[in-house]
Amino acid sequence: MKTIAIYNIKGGVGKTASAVNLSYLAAMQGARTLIWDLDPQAATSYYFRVKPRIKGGGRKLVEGKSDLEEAIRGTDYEYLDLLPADFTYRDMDIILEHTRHPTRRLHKLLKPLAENYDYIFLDCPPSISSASESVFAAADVLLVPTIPTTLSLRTFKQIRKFFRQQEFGRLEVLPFFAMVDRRKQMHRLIVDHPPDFMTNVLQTSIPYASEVERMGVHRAPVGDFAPSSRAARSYSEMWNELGPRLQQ
Amino acid sequence: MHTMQTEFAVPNGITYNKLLALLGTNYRLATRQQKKIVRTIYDSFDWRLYSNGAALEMHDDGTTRQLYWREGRDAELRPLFNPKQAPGFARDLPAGGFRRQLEAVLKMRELVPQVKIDTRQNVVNVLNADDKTVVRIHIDDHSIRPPGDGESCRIARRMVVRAVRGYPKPYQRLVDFLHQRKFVAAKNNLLWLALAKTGRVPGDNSSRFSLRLDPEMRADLATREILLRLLNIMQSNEAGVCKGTDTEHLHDFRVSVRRTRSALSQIKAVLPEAAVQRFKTEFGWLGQITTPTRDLDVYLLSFDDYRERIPEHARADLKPLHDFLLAHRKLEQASLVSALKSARYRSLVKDWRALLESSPPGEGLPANALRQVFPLADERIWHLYTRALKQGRAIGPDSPAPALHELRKTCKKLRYLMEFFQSLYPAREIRLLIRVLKSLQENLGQFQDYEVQVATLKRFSHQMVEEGSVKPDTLLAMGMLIERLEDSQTLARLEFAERFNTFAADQNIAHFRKIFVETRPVEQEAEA
Repeated sequence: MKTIAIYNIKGGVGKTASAVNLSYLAAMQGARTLIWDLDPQAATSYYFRVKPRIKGGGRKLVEGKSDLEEAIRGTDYEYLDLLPADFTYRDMDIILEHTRHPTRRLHKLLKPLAENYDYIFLDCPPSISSASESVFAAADVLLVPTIPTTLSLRTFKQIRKFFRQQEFGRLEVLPFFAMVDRRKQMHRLIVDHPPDFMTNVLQTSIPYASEVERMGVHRAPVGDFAPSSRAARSYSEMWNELGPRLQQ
Repeated sequence: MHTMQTEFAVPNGITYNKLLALLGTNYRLATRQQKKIVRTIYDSFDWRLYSNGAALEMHDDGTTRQLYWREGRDAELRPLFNPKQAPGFARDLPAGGFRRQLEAVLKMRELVPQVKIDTRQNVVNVLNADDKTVVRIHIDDHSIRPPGDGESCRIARRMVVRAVRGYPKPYQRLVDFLHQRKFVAAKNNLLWLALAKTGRVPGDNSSRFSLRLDPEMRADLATREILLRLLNIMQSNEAGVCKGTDTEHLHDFRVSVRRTRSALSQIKAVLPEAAVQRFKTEFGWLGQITTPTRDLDVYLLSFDDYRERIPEHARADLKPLHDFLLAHRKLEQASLVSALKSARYRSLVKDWRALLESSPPGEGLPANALRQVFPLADERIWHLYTRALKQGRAIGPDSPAPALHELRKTCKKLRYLMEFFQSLYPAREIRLLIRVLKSLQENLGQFQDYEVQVATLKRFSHQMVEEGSVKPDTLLAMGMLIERLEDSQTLARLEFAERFNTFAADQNIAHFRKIFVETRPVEQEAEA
């Protein structure tokens, strides 16, 4: 089982769209896939038409007092399950603080799922907090969608710095460019010549595309309702690029 | 992770459109594009997975391949992973719990395609008010075909209703709805149906010898049946021997050859003497041409054990030996295949089958041909048992290895006879006596195997020096291995006395006597 967290401190950079589309592609290839919507805004749950509510509340789930497997819902796609969001996730830091090992908590919760899933995607809320640290400790790969603008690059630099100071063992940080608008000179410049601190950047970038926005109308991954669109093809290329790296 | 599902047999005459119309009266539906799936059911040649209640399937829809695993006869088919290639040996699967589970059942056997099922699948999703899929329906049309050129045949359309995780109520309501409309749950899973349709019986190609004989049967006819069964086992393994990947085919082929040779020499005067002489020579030749490959198989199969026997720091030095074994196995396998394609082999099996399937002549029969099989079996088994006792009692602490080897050969012949004629005796008692014999055979087998392995490894080391630049470290590692094998041989030798004493204990002798001498019936001439 590989755990892939899609994370950025910034909001609106395409985290949820990436998590939804990549998990969909994994499942379409027959991999048993789970996506956990950790964001109290519950966009992933909305896309998959699942009510953003955990029976008994998110707190009990994270504390291990209710059964995580009971909370999992099947999506419209075979092999793709969802652990829905819950509004209590807004207090995730406080919830985790009440557990014995806050940083290891998510890892411990996910461990028993290893037999049942090939991939677990974590759609993370935009912040940097103790909840994020728990995500970093649980993940094998951290995908960081980054808009090719100076402010976004600055944010990525902060993330990089944070990882240099902290120790998250096996975690591999893989940034990629998202919402790329090649009509903009700055976007072209940054994507074609990423700054030195952006090591390990994925070759594939995700374009700024109206199909991605229409995911909210169709409530489905782009690969489902617009499979030959530019956005769907880009996600597909990205998954093909990621797949072999995840096998390593 | 358990998915609830119910499989219904769709009555004849209910088309896909009729089904949609029926479901559409009560449910909001979304149809997906039809898929063509090829399901291949894999098992070992001798159906080890099936015997353990399990099944391994690969589904290929043209774009993705997925392996599925069924743990028990009534368990759900569970997706495993996307294999890069068709499954072969358990050892080639990704490391983990599933591989360990398969290895425990399959051991050294290879997975081969046993049955193929072509499925045209229509997926229909049942939606809730939010347009969310809450139940999945697969409407499947299956054609079943055995692997190779076998003809395919259709089975009745099936409808699989599957719960979507977290939505048990809509699933239950749909199942109830279908029951109310007289849909009946399908009784057999697809594999069973496939087997029934293709006329396959799991284990139909098992190499285990089992044959039911009538005690009053003529000895020559019973012997022909035994030999014919052995020939069938041998020939069913022929293709596998030529393919050369699953080493058990050659093992089982050779066991049939040995058993045949044993029957020819031990069940005396039942077949025409000229034929017996010819086929003794021919089966002797088969034994010879299969030995070099089998020997190398044994070393390769034992290689992990060899590595474990020497200190960890020296294990890597054995790698050249492994390479040497592989290279020589390839050469020996090629000559074996060429021998099995030869005119000599082809006429051997053709003539042998013709003889066994022909009716015995009306006159001029060998002396024992018309006797009943039961007393003849008694006589021959008792004769070999007493010979084994005599040979074993003559073995002392200083007896040379060949004396133990001679006893081993006698025990093998005895074992084969007991297995040929097993059905003539009370099942429980003969099984018990075979167990007593088996325990002695295991010890003798170990002793002889170490003897041969030590001698062969010494020969290999010389050969490796002659063939190229073998490093001194490899020769040292082989030397260490030889020493360890000699230690194990000494242990086996020390254990012999205890094993033989059990075999020759008064109560066991009495038991053998009771079964093979005291219950011997008054002999009458058998009826044809």
